[in-house]
Amino acid sequence: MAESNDALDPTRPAPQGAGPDGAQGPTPGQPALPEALAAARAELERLHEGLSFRELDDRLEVTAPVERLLEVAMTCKNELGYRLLMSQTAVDWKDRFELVYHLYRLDSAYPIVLRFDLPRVESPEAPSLTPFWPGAEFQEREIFDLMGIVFVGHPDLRRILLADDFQGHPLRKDFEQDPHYVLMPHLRIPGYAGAVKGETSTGRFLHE
Amino acid sequence: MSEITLRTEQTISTFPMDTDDGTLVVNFGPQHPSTHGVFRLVMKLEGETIVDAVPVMGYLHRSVEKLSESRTYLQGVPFTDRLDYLAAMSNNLAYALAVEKLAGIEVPERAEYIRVIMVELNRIASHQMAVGSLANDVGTYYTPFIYCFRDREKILDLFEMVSGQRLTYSYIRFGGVSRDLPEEFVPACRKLLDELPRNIDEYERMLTTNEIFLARTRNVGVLPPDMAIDYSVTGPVLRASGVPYDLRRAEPYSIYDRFEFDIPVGTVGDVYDRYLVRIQEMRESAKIVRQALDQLPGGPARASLPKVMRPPKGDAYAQVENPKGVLGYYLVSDGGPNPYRAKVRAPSFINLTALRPLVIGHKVADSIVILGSFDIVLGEVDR
Repeated sequence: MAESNDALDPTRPAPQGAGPDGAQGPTPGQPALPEALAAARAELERLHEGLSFRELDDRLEVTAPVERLLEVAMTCKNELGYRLLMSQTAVDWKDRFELVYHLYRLDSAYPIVLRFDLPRVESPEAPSLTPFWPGAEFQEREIFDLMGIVFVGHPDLRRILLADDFQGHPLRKDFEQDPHYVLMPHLRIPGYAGAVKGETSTGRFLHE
Repeated sequence: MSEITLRTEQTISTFPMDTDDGTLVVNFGPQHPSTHGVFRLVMKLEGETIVDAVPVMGYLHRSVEKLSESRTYLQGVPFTDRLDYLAAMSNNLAYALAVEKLAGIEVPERAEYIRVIMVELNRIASHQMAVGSLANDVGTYYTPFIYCFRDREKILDLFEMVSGQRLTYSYIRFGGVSRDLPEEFVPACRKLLDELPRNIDEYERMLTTNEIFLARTRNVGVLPPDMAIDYSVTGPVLRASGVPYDLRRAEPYSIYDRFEFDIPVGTVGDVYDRYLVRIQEMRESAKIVRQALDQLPGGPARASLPKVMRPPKGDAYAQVENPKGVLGYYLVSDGGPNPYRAKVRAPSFINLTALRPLVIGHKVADSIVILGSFDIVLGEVDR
């Protein structure tokens, strides 16, 4: 074993530039108190209007209109230090879409959960976080792919998990799979492989 | 041919294939022994240097999130195994924690300790696979890989003892674990822990000071810490870049605050640091398992729950430190037996966002090593 290699030494202190404000990372076994969340809430209330809050014992939920998405996210990142964009997701409530973002600090166990409502239209739009969090790129593509929410400002908004020519957005509650959808249409041999609307895939074993 | 038409009629919309600037477009995957699954990387090369690289994924997309909406919470447990199939216990745990948060379930003490033992053993097994396949990518033709697998087999034997499965266990469920440990488990586990440090020393003898390994991995794919944080990278890749963020310390879930262990942190953020972080994490996990075995209490191994769980309306997000990064499960309940929305925050998927900037400027051979150091599992990337 290479003893000279200090990376293997667990008692070595964390290097410089480890945290947002020079913090040496989380103190062992001590998640930051929820007072940090109260301070965050006060700061957000001071800087922005139109926000509504919900304080729970393990997170702070901030609901805002979509126009405020970038401002609120930027405040959380820059002023409040919530630099880790852990999760971006969307939920299809049948009367609206809801974007739910979880932001974490490096030294705290308690996240800020941002929630934004979008109208339940064919292609709702929301601003993209990619200019500030490059890690949002794939997550927003996934939300676009599966839910159909268009992120304005995204450098490369196209489908990521499904085939490029897939129709529809499957995670929506009103998605109906075309039972005759075929992934590789150029391999279809009529009557033998690959279904056409109105037939079964082989054309021979019809259940009549 | 002025244009390359892909057989699936998908064209790469990010850069045109036919240009006169002397670059060559090369496809890497999805069927390739070094892609760690069905992953595709379309690279634009100038000579042997990569000028641009577009990852294409989705070949293993099984719509787990959509399927979960039409299954009960218990029926959703096998889906979690198949996400990161190399660390199924941790996936089970993330889902179990999310459901427990949603429904307010208390887990008995013994079950918590059993969970920690299983998850940390799984971390060792996953890192053994990661180190072995990284060594493969570098070019050691399966020798360290087989050494790692020889010992991984012993861990899989332990898992087969408790759950009957070698890979996808569905052992850790909300409320506890599915069944208690058999009697022969603890002595077998202790025997494994006694042998493990020497085995890890063997891997290190082969690789850590090996000059070819060093030449292939030192200063390759350097990820600066600020960039890593902005790219939402988590796990050993983040820690190798110098950010001491480990969820078992930052947000201690389960009973991790009762154990003493260290968080290995790298300095440079290159492939070599990621390898070292994983080796050291194996040693730390062995320490945790030993402590958990020493403190293992008696009692029931699962809480008694109704046959069909109907958590109250609400949502919950629970995260665990997977061997690959932070795995999060966001569950939304509408009061019924099925989740209204089950979202998986997959670490491999999000870590891959950082692949493209890291790979540009390197040679083709380096790109494979960088991809190997990210340690992706396509089950998780694609879900």
